[in-house]
Amino acid sequence: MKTNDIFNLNRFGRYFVSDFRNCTANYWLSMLLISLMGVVIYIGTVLMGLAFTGEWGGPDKTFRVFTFGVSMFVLMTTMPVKCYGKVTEKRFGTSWLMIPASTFEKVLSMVLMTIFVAPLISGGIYLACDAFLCAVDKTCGAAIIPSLKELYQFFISSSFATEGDIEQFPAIAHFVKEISNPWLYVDDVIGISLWFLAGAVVFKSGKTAKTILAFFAFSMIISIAATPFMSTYFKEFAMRMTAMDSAEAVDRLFNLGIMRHAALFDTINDTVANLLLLACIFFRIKTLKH
Amino acid sequence: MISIKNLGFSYGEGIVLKDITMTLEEGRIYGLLGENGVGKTTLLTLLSGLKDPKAGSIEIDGHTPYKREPSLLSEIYYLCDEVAEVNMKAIDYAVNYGRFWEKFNLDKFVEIMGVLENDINQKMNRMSFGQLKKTYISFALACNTRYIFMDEPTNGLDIPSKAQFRKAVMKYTREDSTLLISTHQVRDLENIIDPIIILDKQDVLLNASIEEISKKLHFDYSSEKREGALYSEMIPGANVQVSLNTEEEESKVNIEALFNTVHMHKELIKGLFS
Repeated sequence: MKTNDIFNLNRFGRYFVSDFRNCTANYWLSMLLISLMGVVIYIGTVLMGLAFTGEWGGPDKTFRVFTFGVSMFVLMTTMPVKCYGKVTEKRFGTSWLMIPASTFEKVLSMVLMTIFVAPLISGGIYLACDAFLCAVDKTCGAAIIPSLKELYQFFISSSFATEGDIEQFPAIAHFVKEISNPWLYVDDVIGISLWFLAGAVVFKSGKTAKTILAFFAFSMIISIAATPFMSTYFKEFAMRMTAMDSAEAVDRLFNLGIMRHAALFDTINDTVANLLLLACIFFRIKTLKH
Repeated sequence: MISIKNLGFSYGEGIVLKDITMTLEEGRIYGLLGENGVGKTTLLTLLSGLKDPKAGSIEIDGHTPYKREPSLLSEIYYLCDEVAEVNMKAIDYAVNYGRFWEKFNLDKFVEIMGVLENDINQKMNRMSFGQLKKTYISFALACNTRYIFMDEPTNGLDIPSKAQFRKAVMKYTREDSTLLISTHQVRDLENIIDPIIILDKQDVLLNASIEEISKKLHFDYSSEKREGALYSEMIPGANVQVSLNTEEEESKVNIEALFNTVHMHKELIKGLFS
């Protein structure tokens, strides 16, 4: 096979634009609804407040952060099925497979669209609307955008370690640092998108339900496989937890490196799983028959 | 040129195509005929690279279709019998997807849509099945590919549209293009298909041009009963009788009668045209 038949930048550019148009035509309404979910929830909360307490008040920041996360999750789970699920149907799949672009270009485009383009556009609209609402209504507190760093830290630290905790037990700061690598979370987010994209192109029916089942089955297998490696650490961790009567004991506990190893295992596991998912999507498209 | 060698395909245990060998030359409009389930659609999908042959090989200009290389895909258009209702206007669809076929001509698409009396500004998911089919036919011809494979293209078309379809195929097909049209509606395509391929279960019964057929078989439309006729059928106003053309008489091939003759005398016809 000639290189030009595997990847050609011009052709990929044309295909990507065409894919974007096609995806927009199929999914724009759902995407708009998801992107405006913050506005819908805000209006709903204000109206409920006015109706029941007679006071003006929108949702607080924590709730808005939560709904933002939920909206992005809904986007990641529904977009691949809506945009690419039809490739397994004869009517749509046939003409799609016959488009003169290589399998690699088609897969690359769908992966980029799923893990970057759709979340960035939808997330961008969501955050812009949130910022606009907070600029107009001062009762909403801070917008989510400047709090993204805070949001990140919320997930990795403040939910289980306050500044007081860190002052009292310096090892916790070390522990937090060990699990502060953003890639630990980014690869999970990419993984969710890839699972649903793989489900959309692999399963012919019941795509979402079968994807969730496959995900749980895969997670169970990984957990069982990981048990021998992780059990030594967990046993040690559990033993030391029972004797955690001083700052030194806590320090020793966290210096075990259990979180560092767990984080490393999680990163390797997610990276391998994501590579497997990419390979699965590629070979599915490569061997798709109608 | 399309070269098919010892092609075999099966769905599980059920063999559909077995040891099929033939060559399709450029600049011809082949009619692919056969009873239901003999593998017409399967053959078209194999040629389009939508299926992988279980045995034998297919080569199109030196390429293997199942590899789906863009350089070959840009020379093929496959019009499936079930067409997709895309959420786009016909013209937007043509602009969006036409750019992948190097020789696609948007003006030609608009012109053919006009010939087929179809609205380019209508959304494809709001079209009737016939309108949708006409949009895809227009697109297929506007792609200007070397190979066009059509599966039951006249299904869903009304009577005037069938005539418009014939006109469009004759007028807008590239001279060096090879068309392979599978159909049950032989009367819709009677004057445009040549050569004719008749598939049987796991076999090719006939692959011959109209000229060859009329040299070897005689089609008699008189009401007089001919001795030794291989097939005879009442048609409005007369009979059609098919017999061996021993006296080298000229006659117009009736494809429906030919099809029935071939099915009644498989071995004889195979021997006659081999």
